[in-house]
Amino acid sequence: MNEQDIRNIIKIGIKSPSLDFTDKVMKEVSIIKNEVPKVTLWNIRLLLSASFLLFIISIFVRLPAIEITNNTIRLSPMIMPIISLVFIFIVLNQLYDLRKSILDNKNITWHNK
Amino acid sequence: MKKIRDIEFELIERIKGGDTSEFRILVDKYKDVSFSLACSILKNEQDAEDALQLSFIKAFKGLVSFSYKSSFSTWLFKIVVNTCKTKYKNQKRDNQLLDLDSCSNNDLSENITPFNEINLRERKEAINKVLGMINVDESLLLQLFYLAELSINEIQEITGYKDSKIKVTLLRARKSFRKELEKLYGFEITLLS
Repeated sequence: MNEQDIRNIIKIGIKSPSLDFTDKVMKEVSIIKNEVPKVTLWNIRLLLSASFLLFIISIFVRLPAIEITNNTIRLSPMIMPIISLVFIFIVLNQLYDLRKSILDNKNITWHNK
Repeated sequence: MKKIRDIEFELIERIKGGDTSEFRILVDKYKDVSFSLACSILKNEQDAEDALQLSFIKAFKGLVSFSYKSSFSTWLFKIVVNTCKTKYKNQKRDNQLLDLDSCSNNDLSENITPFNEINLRERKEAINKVLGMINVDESLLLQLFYLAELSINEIQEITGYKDSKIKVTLLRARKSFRKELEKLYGFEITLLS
């Protein structure tokens, strides 16, 4: 039995997993693709908490008067809540984009099926 | 004409780009060789299939970091071998590694029909029985060298063994394989098909 015989014999012995093996792997792949990464979820939670905290603080905190040369500028108490609302709007906008991209990925997977 | 390596790299690029359904092509192409490798380490088909599924998932997750330094097959087989070895160690630690030999057919020990006279399916079972009988390392290296057709350098990359160890183990593996096969099926083993 020479080298080539061993090669041929071992090739005859090649084994196959179950028939639905590829489908099982692809199902897992699809789940992995559609799951939102844990890091992203924590970032979302953190951003939302921070923005609402900022909003609440902004109600009670007033910006000090700004003195430029002889003029004193007093900002309205509404300024801080407005700034924090803008911040919340930006966060929500980012979340909407994220949700949209996740849904788009799901659609691609379903389409490919 | 494009090399298989280049075609696979393009495929990987498409998968990285979001077309994950293309991963099916890679699974279909490498599942049989990978399964044989997994069986040679774990000696049990169910365990081998579980480990192989885990290996393909690991490969999919790790595609992002695939650096194109080696071929996809070498990279994948390394994941398969490492996953199976970890599972093997865990089983050994938990004393769950019984003398299972479901990758081969135990009834064949009674078979004294010459190798050339048995049909293809029986030959396949006989070969796997013999591969199951020899040492795990020897069986693994035989499959990597002859079945996956990898070079010594690629085997070195997968197993982490020195090339001298690979060559010596392969030499011993060929002897053991031949000896066990001839013990079961007679001395004059040649392939008719």
